[in-house]
Amino acid sequence: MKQISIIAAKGGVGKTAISAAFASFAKDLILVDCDTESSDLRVLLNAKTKETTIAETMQRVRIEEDECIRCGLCKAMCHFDAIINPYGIYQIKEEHCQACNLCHKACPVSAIEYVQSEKNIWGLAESRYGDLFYAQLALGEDLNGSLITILRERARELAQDKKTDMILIDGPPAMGFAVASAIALSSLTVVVVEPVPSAIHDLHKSIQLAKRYDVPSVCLINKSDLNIEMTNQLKEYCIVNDITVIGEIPFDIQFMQAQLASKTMPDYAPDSKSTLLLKQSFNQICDLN
Amino acid sequence: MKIAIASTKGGVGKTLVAVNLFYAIKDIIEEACTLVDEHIQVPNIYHYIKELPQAEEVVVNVRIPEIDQNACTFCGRCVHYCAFDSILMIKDAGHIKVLDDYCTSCGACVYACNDNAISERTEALGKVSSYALDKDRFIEGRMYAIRPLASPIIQEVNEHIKDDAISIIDTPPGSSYPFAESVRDADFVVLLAEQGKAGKRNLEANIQLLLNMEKRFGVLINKSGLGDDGLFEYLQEENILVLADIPYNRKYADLHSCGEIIVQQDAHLKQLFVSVFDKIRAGVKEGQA
Ligand code: SF4
Ligand code: SF4
Ligand code: SF4
Ligand code: SF4
Repeated sequence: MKQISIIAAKGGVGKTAISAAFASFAKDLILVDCDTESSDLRVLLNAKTKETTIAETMQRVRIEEDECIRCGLCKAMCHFDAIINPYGIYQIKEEHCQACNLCHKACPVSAIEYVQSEKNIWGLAESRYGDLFYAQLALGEDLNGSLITILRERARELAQDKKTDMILIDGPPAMGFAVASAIALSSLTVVVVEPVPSAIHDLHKSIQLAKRYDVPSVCLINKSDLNIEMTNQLKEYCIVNDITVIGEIPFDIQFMQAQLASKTMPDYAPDSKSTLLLKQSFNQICDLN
Repeated sequence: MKIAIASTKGGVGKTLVAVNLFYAIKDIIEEACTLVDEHIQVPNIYHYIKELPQAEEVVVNVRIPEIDQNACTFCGRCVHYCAFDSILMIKDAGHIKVLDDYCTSCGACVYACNDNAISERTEALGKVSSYALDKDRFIEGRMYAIRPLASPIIQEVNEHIKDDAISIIDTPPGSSYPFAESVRDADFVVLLAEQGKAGKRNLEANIQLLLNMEKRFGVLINKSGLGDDGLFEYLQEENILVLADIPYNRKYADLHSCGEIIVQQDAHLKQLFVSVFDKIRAGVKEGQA
């Protein structure tokens, strides 16, 4: 089974459009949408939700005022200055709390409760090309990428059950800890870049991260003609670092138009040069694996 | 006055707006203006500032636990205390190790260990750099490795700018955690949006977040003119302040990709950003009244 992840260090490079196009070429696969804010891939593929589950990954702590003996231990111990005591009453400052539970475990009178947040869900939806896992996070609750790990694991189980050959993971927007959770155990990660001034740095950071998790990476350059000089530098970087460039797609306004029409590129512009280039890139991935 | 440029969706043009808003207004207002890059994982604004002066840097340190295998009795308490599964213990092999990548430096394991087997070393998580640009400043937060812990750096950035007359903050996209963290102290939020189904859904969710946080905000629509007017109708119906819409323009994409500041070459866009700033100012005044 191939597990392919598509990542980008910066938003707007076309990651989700590329994932959707690859999904349509693969035809039968399992998809994971790691954008826990807006699950754009699910929207783009018009996937219908089959089931949702409350994710038991996030906890919150709460101090029971009546039980607290105001010893101050929790405040002294918290590494994140997340416990405050205005007017002598100990409270958790939620926005600073990392939910490490240290205070809960340390409080001598068990005045700190540990509550399961019920605001985060993960779901399974049905798309034309196969089942799609997605998640929705509540505000300020993305602490350790564990929700993405759940998605990835569920996708793997389902792929094994259904004997599906491919899992395609549309990575989280931008670079962050969630990316590490998304690419772990992938057989290949596709780093999508566009030739902006930070492109080399963005690519480097993504590739380093993939290396750290022992995942081989390839590069796909989108909007390649926006800054030709930078595109050349990117290609040079790839040669020096032994990274295959699986495609180079010139700027094409149809990407935006397709997105606005909630269509994949192969649906919106089947005969376009971009669709052809996407198809060639996809074939390269299949050959590489 | 803190102005946060925000959207949980990546690639909608936050950096473009932050940089160009800064350059459009800095020479026509008297106050000192600070441009802030909070994309700590992959900061990229520095590419747009020609001739960066020497930076003043503040290193942000965290404590990382280290386990002495010889002192460890393999009781497993630290593993049980760690809420982030970041301690790997293989008792039979006499092996125990902190997985730095997952560690949030919460200190729970140190507290848990009764055998003095865990010590802490200090490690640089990242740094905050401050650059003087005549009367203005540029501040950048940067994280060295990708770790599940962004808040100490964001907090340090916020500390740097807390007394500034005007600051324009390019906030990190993606997870709602950095969104909440960087928007929390803002006096005004410029919410970026794009047309299309996914764009509208994302905007609605973001507006809800801001309403819950009781923030003053206005919407700036980027790359407009490609889709239908559904977004405008929605904003009008909901009576939401629209700051401006930036029409889609290939020239803007080209200039931005090449590291250019668009408002220095396009008087029309400059005027647009100046009027956006006036609206922000009026909005903040209204809030204070
Ligand atoms: S440790 Fe427990 S009793 Fe002491 S101040 Fe904190 S909550 Fe109150
Ligand atoms: S759970 Fe951890 S971070 Fe949150 S308040 Fe308690 S000790 Fe501090
Ligand atoms: S410091 Fe906290 S997160 Fe790090 S290993 Fe110890 S318990 Fe786990
Ligand atoms: S708590 Fe201390 S003694 Fe027990 S397993 Fe952890 S390091 Fe070893």
